[in-house]
This record gives sequence, structure tokens and C-alpha cells, in this order.
Amino acid sequence: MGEVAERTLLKKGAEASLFLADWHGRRAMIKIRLPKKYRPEKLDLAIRTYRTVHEPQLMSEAKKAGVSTPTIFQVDVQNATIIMEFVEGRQVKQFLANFSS
Amino acid sequence: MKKTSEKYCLGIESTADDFGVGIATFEGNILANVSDAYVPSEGGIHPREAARHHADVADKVLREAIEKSGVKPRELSIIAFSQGPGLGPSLRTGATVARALASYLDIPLVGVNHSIAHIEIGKLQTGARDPVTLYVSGGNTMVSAFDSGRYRIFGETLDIALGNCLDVFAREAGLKYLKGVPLGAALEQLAAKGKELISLPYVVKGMDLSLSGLLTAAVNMLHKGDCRLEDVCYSLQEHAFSMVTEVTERALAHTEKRHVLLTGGVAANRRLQSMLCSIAKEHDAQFNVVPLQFATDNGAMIAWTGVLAYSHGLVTPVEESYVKLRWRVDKVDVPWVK
Repeated sequence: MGEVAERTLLKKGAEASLFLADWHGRRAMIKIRLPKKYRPEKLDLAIRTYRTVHEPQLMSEAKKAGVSTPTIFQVDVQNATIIMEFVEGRQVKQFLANFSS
Repeated sequence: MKKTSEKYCLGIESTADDFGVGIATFEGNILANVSDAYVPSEGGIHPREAARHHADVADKVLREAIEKSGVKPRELSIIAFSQGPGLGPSLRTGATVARALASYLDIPLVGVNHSIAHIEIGKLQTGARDPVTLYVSGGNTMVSAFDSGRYRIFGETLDIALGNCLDVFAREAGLKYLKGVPLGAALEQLAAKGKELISLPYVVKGMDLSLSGLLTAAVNMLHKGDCRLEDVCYSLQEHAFSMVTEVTERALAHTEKRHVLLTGGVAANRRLQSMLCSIAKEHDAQFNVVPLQFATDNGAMIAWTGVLAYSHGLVTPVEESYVKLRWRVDKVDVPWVK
């Protein structure tokens, strides 16, 4: 991950932490599935690796089907990290909250 | 002990294998919490036999609760009962007792949702405020939190309940129910001696989870006989608990609530407690586990929830007091929660 000089934590989710960073002059999202201390290391690694591999594949499939998904820049399976295009906008959660009020 | 000016609610719990009677004051003091469990000679709960057991012990449990509380039947203000969800024959037995009592004493009847009662007694006993609740028992596995007037289900099992999964496995492994030591506790003791993690199915689908495939795989592993029983118990627990913990953490991250509440019979498991505690810390939330007598099915939780409902104008006329076998928590308005 030597290319990323600086990163800001945007959101600590349940499964991964999302960082905003500059990646070769582009605004990028770095999604890191950090280890979960509550589960055994072997299971933890298997889950994080599996999902890091499959998420970009599914996003790519979705894109092929015409769904606008962020472009994947880089996948680092060992560190369970995905670097992808940053898309400006609101969360669905925020949108719905405004919608109902 | 009772004070003369107080009002009391008697609650009857009978959704599954326990017949319980609790007496609560309107201020939230539990004066009695008595229960009697149906213990099958072999296998799981036989609904008809459980109902027969409840009918047999109802008068004994009622009398014991009333004596313990020091409240005379005529001093009761309302009768609450678990109206669902649960096993039909068990529910109907408790409902019949509740209707008879309410009619005889000529006081209001309040039908209570069993799962909501678990959450409410948990909040009362632990002081948890507006928590994300993981409710795991022999019949239920759900993650819920309050939003816009109701407890919403953020995740749940798609097939069997966590307690059911562990119990069936324990029986397959030949573990026997001993008085005072539930099957889950026997399994927990064996699991604590496990060393090798065997790979088993880990099925989280979005916010929901599935345990039936995990159970089948663990049972197959057991019968193949290649692994130590302790290792299979350990692996089963680690996989199943990791799944419910992951879903709870997701609900916590999404709702950004400040409390986590663990309840239901499986809440007694120390390993599960430590996992939940870990994710609570991770999100700066407080972890609360409900004391065992209020975490397993009990009458006190029905009595207390009856008080909350009645205080907000909710009563159940006898003609509408039919039991609801699949009554989901998200179908119930809870005006007492803000």
C-alpha cells in the first residue's frame, strides 16, 4: 500500500473500515476488512479473504449487467483491502431519513 | 415485598417448555418469579406433552408465586399472558389459565408478545437504554432495535434457532440433561476443551443467518468419528456464535446505538458473552447480559411487559385473546418506548 500517502477514516462499519485517500492523483476509497478479535484467527482470515476476493467480482458482474458500481483500482487479498473509485453522494440511509421527514 | 398503595400485575409465560408465573409491581419491582420446566424423557419438546405438563403444574406454580409475593389475588390489577409466538398447545394452556383468572377476578387481560417481553425485562434488569438486542434461545434467534414506534428486526435466522442447533447437536453427541445443567451448558464445557478449529459452514446472508447446514455438517463430523468431540463442540460454537455476533455488530454499526443487550437461554454461554462484549467495545457501546432467571423464559417478563402495555392503554378483550403462533415483534406497536 506504499502508493497511499495519507488516508482519512470516513466510516467504521461492522465489517470493514472505509478510508478516503489519494491514489495516484485520484480520490479513492480504501476498504479494509480489519481482523475481528472475537472470532478464531483461522475463521477470521477465511472470511475476510473470501469476501475480499468475491466483492470485486460481484461489483464487476453488476457493472456488466449495467449497474453503476465504483471502478476497482486494486485488490490486496493478503491485507483484505480493496481500493476503489470514490463516489460522491449520500447514503441510502440518509436519503430515506430525509425522505420520510 | 409489597406496599399497600401499589398496583400489581400477574404474568403467565407458557410459550414452550416452561410454565412460569411472575408478579410485578407497576413501579417495576419483581415480587415473584416462579417456573416449572417440562423435561422430556428423550428428544426435544413434544408440544402436546409440554401442554399437559403446564396444565398439571399451573395451580402449583400460581400458588407458589402468589405466596412468595405476599399479594392476595384480589389485590391484582391485571393479568398478563404470553400470547405468542410459540408452540400452540403450550400457548393455549397458559392463555386458558390467564382468561380464567382475569374473568374470575374481573380484571383486565393483557396479551404480551413473548420476544418483546424478553427485551423489556432485560432493559429493566440491566438498565440498558435503547439497546441493540441479540435474543438467542431454543426457539428464537434475532437481532432487534427500536425505531419509529416498534422494535425492528435487523437480522434473524432463516431456519432453526441457535439454541435449537446446539441442543440437537448435544443430543446427537449423547449428552444428557441433568437437573440444573442444561444441554447447552454441557456443550459449553466440552467446547472449552476444544483446541482444533474444524472448518464448518459459515452462513451469513446479508443481515440474516442460517444454522441448519452448520448443524448437519457438525453432526456428520461427529458420526464420522475422525475428530475429538471437544473439537467439534468448539468448532460448532465458534462458527455459530461468530455468525450471530457479526449480524449484531452490523446492526450496531448501522443504528449507532450505545447499548448492546444479550438475552435468551443461550445468553448464559460465557463464550458468546465475550464475543458480544468485544463488538460492543469496538463500537464504544455498553454491553449488558440479562441475569439467567430473567434471560430464560419467565413469568416476570410477561408481568412487567403487561404493566408497560396496560399503562399505555392496551388491554386484550377475552374474545381477542386467541394465541398467535408466529407473532413477530415488528408487528407490535410499543407506545411505551420513546
